[in-house]
Amino acid sequence: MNNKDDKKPDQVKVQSKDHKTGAAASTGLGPVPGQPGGTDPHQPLQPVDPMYAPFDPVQSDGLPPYPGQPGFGPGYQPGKPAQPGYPDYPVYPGYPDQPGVYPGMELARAYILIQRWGKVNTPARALETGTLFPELYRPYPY
Amino acid sequence: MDHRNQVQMLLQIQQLSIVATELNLFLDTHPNDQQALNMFNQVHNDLLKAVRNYEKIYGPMLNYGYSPAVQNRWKWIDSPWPWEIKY
Repeated sequence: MNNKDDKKPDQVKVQSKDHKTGAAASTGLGPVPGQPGGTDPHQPLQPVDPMYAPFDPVQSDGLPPYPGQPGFGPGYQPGKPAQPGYPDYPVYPGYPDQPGVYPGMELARAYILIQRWGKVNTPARALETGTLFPELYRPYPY
Repeated sequence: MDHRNQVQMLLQIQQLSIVATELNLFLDTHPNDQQALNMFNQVHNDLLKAVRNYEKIYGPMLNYGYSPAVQNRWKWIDSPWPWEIKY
């Protein structure tokens, strides 16, 4: 999955919210007015620089670069072999995120359907099959 | 010793236990489901009854105060350990 494309809509939303309200109160990314460390609620809200970056990069902290920082790798790109996220990426033999391993494969998104109340097993069958709910026993009906 | 009746009563308790466990887990994610709540309370009562019936005959199922001593003798040390019951 392409991290950059994934991040873009979020960042645009956060920035436009900052621009309108002058604070990142609901994002948790900035000081909240009236809270310790926040601005005085009686003072008019200061206009915020629209270039405010939600993840202000800390330079030369010895850690691998964050997404968007210089030095951060390109990540997975469709059609190209998988690449590590940063140059000193440790090598895990056989792990899928290695150049040349499982080329063309992508990460997946998992989702789980919410269960709905229906018919239930008898206590004897529940103990036998390991579940009270017949829909949780293979073959799954949906 | 013939454990057939004891095994039968234990089996019923195990069956009610898994039903209670499953309803417990269902209610964790569906806390307002009235059908599940009703069934959970019903199963809870049945499970308590089954355990109390068992304890009347075979002694306490739990120790350290979680089961009453219903006989006029401390039965905890008399009754077979789970691995001594012939299933």
